[in-house]
Amino acid sequence: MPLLNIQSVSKSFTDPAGAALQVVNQLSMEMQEGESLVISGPSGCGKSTLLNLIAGIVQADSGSVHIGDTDIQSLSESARDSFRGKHIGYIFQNHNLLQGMSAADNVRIGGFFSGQAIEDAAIEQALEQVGLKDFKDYLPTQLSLGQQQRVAIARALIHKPKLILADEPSSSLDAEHAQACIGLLLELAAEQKAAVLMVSHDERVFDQVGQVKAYGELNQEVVS
Amino acid sequence: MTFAQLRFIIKQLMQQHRSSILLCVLSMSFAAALLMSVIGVQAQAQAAFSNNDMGFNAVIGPRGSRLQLVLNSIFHIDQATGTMPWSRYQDIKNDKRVLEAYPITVGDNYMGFHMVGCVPEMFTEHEFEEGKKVGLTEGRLFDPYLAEAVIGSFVAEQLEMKVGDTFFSYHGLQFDESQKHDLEFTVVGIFEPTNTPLDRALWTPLESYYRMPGHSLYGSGKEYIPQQGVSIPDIHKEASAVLCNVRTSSGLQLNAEINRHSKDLTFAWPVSTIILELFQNLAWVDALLALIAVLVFIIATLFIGSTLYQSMQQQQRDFVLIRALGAKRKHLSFIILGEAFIIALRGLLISFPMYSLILGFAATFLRATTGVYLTLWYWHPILLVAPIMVLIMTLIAALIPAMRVYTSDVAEQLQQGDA
Repeated sequence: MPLLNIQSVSKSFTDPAGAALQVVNQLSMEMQEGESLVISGPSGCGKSTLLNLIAGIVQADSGSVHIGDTDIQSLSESARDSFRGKHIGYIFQNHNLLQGMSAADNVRIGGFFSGQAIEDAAIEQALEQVGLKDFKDYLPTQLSLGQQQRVAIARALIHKPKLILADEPSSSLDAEHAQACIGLLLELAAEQKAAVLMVSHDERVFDQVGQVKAYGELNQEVVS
Repeated sequence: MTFAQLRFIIKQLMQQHRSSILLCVLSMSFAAALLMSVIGVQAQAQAAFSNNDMGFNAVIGPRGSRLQLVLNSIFHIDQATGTMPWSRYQDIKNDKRVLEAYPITVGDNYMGFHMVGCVPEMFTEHEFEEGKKVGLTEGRLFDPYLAEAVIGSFVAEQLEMKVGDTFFSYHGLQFDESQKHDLEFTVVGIFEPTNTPLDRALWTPLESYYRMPGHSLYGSGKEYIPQQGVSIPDIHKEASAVLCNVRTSSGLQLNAEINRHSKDLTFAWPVSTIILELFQNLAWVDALLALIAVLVFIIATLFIGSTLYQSMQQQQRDFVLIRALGAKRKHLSFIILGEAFIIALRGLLISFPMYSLILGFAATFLRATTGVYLTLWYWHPILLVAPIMVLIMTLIAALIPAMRVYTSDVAEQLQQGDA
């Protein structure tokens, strides 16, 4: 059974002029456990909406999104929130961390919604894995963008999710840091046997991940 | 998500905007303290004044204001209403409806504290509280014919006076060195603290008051200057007031008799009710202060609402992140309400010391000016109502930002951002 199985999912929004804007159209795809995949496409094409549909943040107009044997789109909003907290790790492009919290606390909060008791030792270990053991008390403003992204990776992995969603994780980083961060994410996800689904228009990422799909091709019709 | 985890997030988020939180806490605590002080201190002062009649239920004095008579003769504030002939005192004393009567004379001071001429029986026979006569911490009572004084405990404390010290009296109720009487008094005793106006006066014999150089007596209607070695005939003596206890059943009768039919006397009875007149006269001041307190309270509430709303706006991205990590809508609302609750709680914690401070100032002022004693442990419902109001108003102030967070669309905000 695939870890992620999306069948004929559609989502449209109403634009400011009042017209319907179809951003996901009959999209279907699958991912296996431990698999890594990049979905490519230009900015604004609907990639982030797809991640939000998978995370249960957005309710689909139609179709199903199975993670394991759970159709997250059939759950209530509250149940989707709980599911996301337990089974999904989410990494954003930037502004990824809670600005008032230290690196350690940002990692700690990642475990709050998982229902697991996260020990201090596990947090230290997670920060050590991303090379930030000595920065645990630093606030995000005291860290470089690359370091902030590594804290976000540690947070996404702390509760050992089955699936990690990463939305343009490299776009705010320079080439060196982008490569290091993506490499680290893939390496740690592989250790935990977690699948990684990234959306990106950054070609540097494509080579690192290996498997790339164009967003437009996943939809029945190419949407803009 | 556990309560401890929510508390952790609230604490962390509050640290981000601690300056504005501190202002919220201080404004709320100030509002609550002001409300408690205005209402609580006023109520306590009223009760303290009403209960501080020194054990007398009536004062009889020259024609004038009943309130002024009580304030001057019991609380040692305000001017005397004049003097009355000794014969009028004797009439009062011999009246069967009067249980006890003690003449006093006033009009002099030492360092701003009133000197009161009186008879020693006022301290040996009169009970200042039921079943309790006033005692001395040291020394003895004055000799009724010598220039001696027994001083109140507050006077002794403030002027650092002790038995054996001497002092001169000064004419008038305000201390003015040019108004010195050339008669030296010796302190022979110090009264124990009573938390009544007795503590802040110097008590001397009537006789020495009469014989003070510069004093003339007009009891007969003509000036009489006491001579050394010659006893003063009663006809020349006078009193500023007579402190009495009258039979409760005779109060109304005496009131009608003296206040309606006498042309030269005023009967102030019952003393506690007369004191209430003072507070009734000052009711507009209380109302104004209460209005100010309520306005401060409302402004503080609006300030908290606005601060929480602003901090919520500033933390919008944080809330989106927390939602994306798995927090439910209710968690975010709880975080906002939790912040408000903590602000209110901290405000309350500070409001009580602040209230104590205001009460302390009021108590010090009242004790120094009237001898009335206020206590920190005085119970008034406002001490419970004000904190409850603080909590309710703060939570109401937090409702709008909490609702805003609850209804916000995390997906839309994620789309709007660069995530």
